[in-house]
Amino acid sequence: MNSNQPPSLNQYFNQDTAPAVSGATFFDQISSPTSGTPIDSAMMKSVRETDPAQDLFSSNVVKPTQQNPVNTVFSNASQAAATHFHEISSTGKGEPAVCRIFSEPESPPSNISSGKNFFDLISSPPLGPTPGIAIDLSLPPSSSSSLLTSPDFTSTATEDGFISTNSSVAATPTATHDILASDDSFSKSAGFRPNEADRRRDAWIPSEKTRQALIAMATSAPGSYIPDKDMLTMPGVCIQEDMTDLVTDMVQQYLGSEEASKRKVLTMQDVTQDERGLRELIQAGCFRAAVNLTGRLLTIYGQGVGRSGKPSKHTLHSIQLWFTRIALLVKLKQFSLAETEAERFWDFDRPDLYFPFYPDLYGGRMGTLIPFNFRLLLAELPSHTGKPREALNRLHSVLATVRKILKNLESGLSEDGSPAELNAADSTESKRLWSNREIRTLHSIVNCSVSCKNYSLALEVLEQVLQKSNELPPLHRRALLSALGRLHLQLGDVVGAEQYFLSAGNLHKQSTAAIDGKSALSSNTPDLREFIDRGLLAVSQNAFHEALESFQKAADMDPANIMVLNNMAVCHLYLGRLREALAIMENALTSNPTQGLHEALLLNMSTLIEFESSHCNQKKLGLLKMLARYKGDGVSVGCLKLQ
Amino acid sequence: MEARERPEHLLALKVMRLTRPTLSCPVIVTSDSKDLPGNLLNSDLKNDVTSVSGVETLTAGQFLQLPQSFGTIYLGETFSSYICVHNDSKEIAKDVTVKIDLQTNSQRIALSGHSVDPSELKPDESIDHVIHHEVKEVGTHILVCEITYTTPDQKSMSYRKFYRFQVLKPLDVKTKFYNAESDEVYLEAQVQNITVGPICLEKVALESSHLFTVSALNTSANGESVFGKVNVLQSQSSRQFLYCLAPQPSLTVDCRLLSGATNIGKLDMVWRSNLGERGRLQTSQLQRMAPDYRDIRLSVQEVPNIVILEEAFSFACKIINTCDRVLDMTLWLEDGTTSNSGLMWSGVSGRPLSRLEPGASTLLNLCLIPLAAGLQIISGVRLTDAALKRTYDFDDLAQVFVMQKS
Repeated sequence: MNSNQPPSLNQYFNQDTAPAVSGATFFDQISSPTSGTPIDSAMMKSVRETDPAQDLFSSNVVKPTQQNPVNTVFSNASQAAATHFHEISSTGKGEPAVCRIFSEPESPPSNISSGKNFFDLISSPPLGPTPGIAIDLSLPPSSSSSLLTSPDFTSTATEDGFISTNSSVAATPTATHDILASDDSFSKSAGFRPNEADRRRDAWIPSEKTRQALIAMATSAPGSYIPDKDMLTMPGVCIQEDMTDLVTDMVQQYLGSEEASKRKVLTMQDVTQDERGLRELIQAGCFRAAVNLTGRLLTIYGQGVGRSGKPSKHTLHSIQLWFTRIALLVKLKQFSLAETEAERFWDFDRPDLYFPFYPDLYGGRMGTLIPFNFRLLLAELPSHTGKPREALNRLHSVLATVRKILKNLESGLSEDGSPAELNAADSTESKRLWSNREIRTLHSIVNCSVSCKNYSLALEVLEQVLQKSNELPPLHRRALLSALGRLHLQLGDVVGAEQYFLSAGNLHKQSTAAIDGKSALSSNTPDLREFIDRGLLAVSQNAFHEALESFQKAADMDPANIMVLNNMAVCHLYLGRLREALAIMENALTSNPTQGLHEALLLNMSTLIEFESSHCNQKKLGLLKMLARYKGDGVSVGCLKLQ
Repeated sequence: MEARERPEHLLALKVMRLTRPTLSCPVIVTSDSKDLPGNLLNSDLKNDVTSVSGVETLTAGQFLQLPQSFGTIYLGETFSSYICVHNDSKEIAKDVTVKIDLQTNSQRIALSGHSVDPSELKPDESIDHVIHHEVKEVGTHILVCEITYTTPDQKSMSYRKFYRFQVLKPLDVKTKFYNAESDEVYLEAQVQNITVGPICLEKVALESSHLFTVSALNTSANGESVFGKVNVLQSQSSRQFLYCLAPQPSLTVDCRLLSGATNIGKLDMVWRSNLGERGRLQTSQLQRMAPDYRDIRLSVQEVPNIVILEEAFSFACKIINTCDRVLDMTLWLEDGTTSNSGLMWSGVSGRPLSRLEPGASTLLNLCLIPLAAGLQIISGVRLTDAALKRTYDFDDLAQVFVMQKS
């Protein structure tokens, strides 16, 4: 594992700082005996006091300061390299635990409706009503019974589907336009047989080579086809040691063990050793513990530490564990770790990632085991590790296949291009699903372009998205227009931004007018979105008074909105009112700590705290205490800039 | 920071450069509701304070993030800084003054008033200043802050702090001039972005001197920019701007005035970068090379762009006496002066022209027959001055495109 991203902080800054060219422009270049502040900030560091008579320009001693003396707290266990293996037998000692896990009754956390549970992927048998066929063979036998008795199974039954259709479609008219909810709408929206929903969701077009391998597999006698080893994915966990909770470490270091012992945070041991426990950890924001748990569960599949490059069998479940694991590593901004662990997967074009590879396990089922979002996640990943071009290539290859699938559907074929009789409703549903996926992919392309500052590409693609959303409700189009405006602001095109904000505002006026039945001109009361856009525009024009006014109006409408409060505070600072700025931020934080204890806000606060007083650590330790009290292990402590 | 302070001082001074904030956004990770994480990742994204409702999966943020580094500063940008003098002690400091100067290679600029109101700082109180200064020089700049105050035991204290930074050049401008036959001057300006990031060239305009009227040739017929829809210039990329300068009518009457008109004007450029950070630069007065018209000037008045093979066409030009003598001239028309010219003159060669007074001009209508297809050059006009027996050659007068009759 390379350590080119030591503290999580660096990753943070990679994202959002103005490019800091050569160090020559930094103030801390100037010789300073006590230099070595771990983090750069806009705060200027002075030259040592010099004799007034001395020529200022000749004292130009450039002493490159060591950037970021690595704070040991940041370096986490995950840096370990996969050099020596812990050989763990896949069925041996893991087995008892698994038995216990899977026989536990399912009682998912309240916010997950049981119908959305992972298990119904497995428990929806392709061959009719007998559920027993879809037994996951790689799990210990006892687990299969728990799968069958999982309460989720009933919820996917056809009758229920009809009922949920009518209610949910009527209740959530906007769901179909919401990318995040896209899958929701499709899963609820019709009483299709579950295997149709599976087919739509799992469809993918393999490369010719992979397709041939799958055909060879299907046409040869069972068990006689042995694929080449390099046709297999063979993933393995690379992080040898469990990730630890950095907040506790930090509290221990700065506030002592008494304070540290007060911290109550879920660990892998506190939850059931299954995906329910995993979800519990994610829900509690304990992403590191969740990563640890995925590692343990993958070990059961023979894909644990040191298993990279060794053949192992995939199931829907193991693939989902991988997806969850990589997704969480990305959320933790452990990008290069995620990249190393996911290296074996991309481009997801190996026969063992397709259902037909496992005829006795998923008999007759078509498509890929890979969730679409896993594909996107890995496609985007290189953009976080300084390889935006690679990410764009990957994303475009995903886009090409999605468009091929859409084309197949248009020509009356099934998703993968095989001739099939799809009924009209099924075909419409599939088109909708894949159009949503196309748009989601385009979003990723935009994000990737923004991250490498290729604004021309970002704007061009986002315009495409806007064109595609012509039939969508004004609300959604308006959000896109406003996003286009903000991208223009980011690149510095204030004039362009203003035009987009204007069209966004007009769309809002028209739609509210349509609802109120008034003419478009009479209903011109701006809403939250409009005030925020105005505020940002004013910031770009260096008009911080006006910006503050706009954000204030936005805050009047939504007083608990932390983003708005933060923006107000920033305006105060630029107007020379540090204290007000800090007071607003502190207020925002205490009124809603769970949301407010966010890296971005904490970073702003720490910057101000440092600036305000020389005795800044006291206040920062207060923030640390709050983090310890309210947050799981998934938060970044680097944003506190503790010294 | 605090360690750099001499401990005996009651007042602490801190300086922060205020570049524009950035827009923060979350790392976007989503899943389908059927996937293992269910809706947890999606709802985490929705609840993120930096995500934007409705377009959560786009990184077009709205959460203002304070600058985390000094960044770079370029000529023409405004240097803004927050200067904070804070009383860290438990005593009252009196007669506080804060003096802020900017020392460049050539001058010292006062940026802030020399006394402060109120001049007394109680414990934990602070003096807050935001200073702005448009940087007009490249190279090393030093911000000099001097604090003076009186301690409770009437001791007069003072200290200075120095903050050094480099001002870099943001744009590289190269210009080229073309003196057209029609007396117009064309200016081609190549503007290169030599900053580290992309910029938006908000304005690039030629402010002409009083001798010329300028028209910019950087939009297409329907008013769109020739540089495309998105006004962004990547680092190290260039744009080519073209301007046409027509001399004032008062100049065109007299060739000598015209050739003396070398002052073209200034190029005025405004650019913006992250969240509208603005910079402005103006070039010095641009000078063109004055055209040399010799004694006689021949200017093309009318010539077709496209002509048909073997069909005669006419070519109108104007002959102007630009010397002080009265000219009696003979017109000669020569064929084949440039290699393989596909044009033949049709008309009388060796005919005398009417006498031309100094400054006077005469119009000539000449006829040519194209004998070869393709781009052909009109050459071969010769004028001989009877008094001095001098021959003036006029070649490469214009180009026509010869096509076969369809």
